[in-house]
Amino acid sequence: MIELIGVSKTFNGRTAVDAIDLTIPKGSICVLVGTSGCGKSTTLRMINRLLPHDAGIIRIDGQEIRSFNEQKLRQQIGYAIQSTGLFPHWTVERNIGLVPRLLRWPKQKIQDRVEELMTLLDLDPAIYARQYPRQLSGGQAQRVGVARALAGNPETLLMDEPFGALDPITRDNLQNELLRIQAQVKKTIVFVTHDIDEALKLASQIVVMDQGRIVQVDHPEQLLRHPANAYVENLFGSQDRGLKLASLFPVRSLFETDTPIQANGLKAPGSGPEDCIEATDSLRLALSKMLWAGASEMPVVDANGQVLGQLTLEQILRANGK
Amino acid sequence: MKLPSHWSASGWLVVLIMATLGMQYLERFFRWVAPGQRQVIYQRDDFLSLMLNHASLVGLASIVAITIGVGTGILVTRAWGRDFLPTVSLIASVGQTFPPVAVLALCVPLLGFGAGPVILSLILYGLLPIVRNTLAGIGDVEPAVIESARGMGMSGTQILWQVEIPLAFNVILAGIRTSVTINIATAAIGSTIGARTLGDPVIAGLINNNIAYTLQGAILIGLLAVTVDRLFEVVQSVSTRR
Ligand SMILES: Nc1ncnc2c1ncn2[C@@H]1O[C@H](COP(=O)(O)OP(=O)(O)O)[C@@H](O)[C@H]1O
Ligand SMILES: [Mg+2]
Repeated sequence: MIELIGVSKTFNGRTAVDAIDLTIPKGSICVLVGTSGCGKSTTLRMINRLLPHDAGIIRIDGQEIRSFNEQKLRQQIGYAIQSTGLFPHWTVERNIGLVPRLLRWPKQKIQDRVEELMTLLDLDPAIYARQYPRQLSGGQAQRVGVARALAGNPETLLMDEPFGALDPITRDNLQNELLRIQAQVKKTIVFVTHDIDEALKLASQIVVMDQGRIVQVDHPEQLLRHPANAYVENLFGSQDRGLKLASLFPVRSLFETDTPIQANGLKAPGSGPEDCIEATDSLRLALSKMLWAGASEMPVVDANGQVLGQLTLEQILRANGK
Repeated sequence: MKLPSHWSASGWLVVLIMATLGMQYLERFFRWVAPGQRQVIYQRDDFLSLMLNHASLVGLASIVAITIGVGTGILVTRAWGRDFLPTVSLIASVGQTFPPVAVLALCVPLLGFGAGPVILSLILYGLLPIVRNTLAGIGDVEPAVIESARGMGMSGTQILWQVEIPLAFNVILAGIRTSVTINIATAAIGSTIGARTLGDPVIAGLINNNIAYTLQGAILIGLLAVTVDRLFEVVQSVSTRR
């Protein structure tokens, strides 16, 4: 758990972060959003003391961060940034093994850890371990950056727009992998982004900042339904909020609450990815598929292609509207 | 295809040694160059001792210049030394517009004649490219790399030795190379203020109007400069390959 109490930061008389209070529960993904220059990165960098805070208290698991040795503190906190900051003169494996080496783990344990992380992040050690950062694509470099941040097995992970420089497809892949990894490792993640869709997709808790202040802290759905003011409403797209909301829920969630699924064991006739909806699709995707097909209802299938039932436009409207 | 750099360096080294030890075997050539001279091989000193003296002057000055130059470059790029960065950077670039002769000339009234003032001016002049390149090399390290190094929990010393110096190494080395090569030539001028160097035959030739002496000095100075330069190339190519 991370707690910020009345935390402020001033640069040459200009307030960048203004007395913010924030509690980030253990194992959650807290996403900081807001316009450029609103103090997101500054907030993040105060947590690992890359910047000293001028006022207030920051605690990690109840301990004041100032009570730790600065280097020791950072070795316990993963840190990943947009430009990766990989060491260009070190191989991928040496980059990933940095923090374990600082922590003086035995050699074999470091090597095992590096391999484990490369596999977790879908980088084949046999191919990439000995490569240098310049030989990697943007997406691969960022995977290495995330692996390096996770290497020392930190409880806390700070990520500053880590996927901001990637193309949409790579970004989407890495977001999915972050969620997959998080389901396994359950870190406390503080994630900065200015991409609202990314925030909605990843966050268990979204913190909206404006001019160094926290404007609203809420779950994605609450933020969309009840924005605290016009700034939040604007940030989250006042026009397409409906679609953003629909993207939060998987189709499966309707079937759990609505009609019980009757698995009739039939494979949907002649089904391609376009003529049926997968249970893991979001309502937004389901809606898009129905619009495309001009159909007001479509079959929903599970991962094995088993038909779970019919999804109607009516159901989507009801789910999104409530 | 280019010869591997260590071949070319050893080739030059062999030529340098042969020229230093066997200048007298070229007597017929020098008689042809300077007809009418009674003596055409410089005799006042043997070339080997001039070469060794010249090289030690430059070597000593360079070791001091590297220590002070790289040291200064590192100090003013630390958080607590940054206040001095603009001044040092300015001196390093303006200083290089001074011709080396002027530096030597300025040293004489302050320190008198002999090897001492020559070494001092070689140090001063040799410092400049080293400081400048150390600043450039460390300054070129991507801020994101330093940011993440700090973020991972490396100490300042660890960042310096494991990140900044390795990444700046080639640029610093290039500065050292320039410094040493320039000083090999500059040291020759030291003969005019009483240091024993390969400049001696050059000056003697100019005074006695014996072009053979001048040529012998110039050849050895040139060979020394080229050989040292090739040796640096070997080191650079090895460190780049890593
Ligand atoms: N090291 C610094 N020195 C001076 N001003 C800074 C520094 N870092 C950030 N700022 C200022 O603080 C404000 C917040 O910056 P930042 O936290 O980076 O914003 P964000 O990450 O939300 O875009 C900006 O006005 C920025 O110019
Ligand atoms: Mg930022």
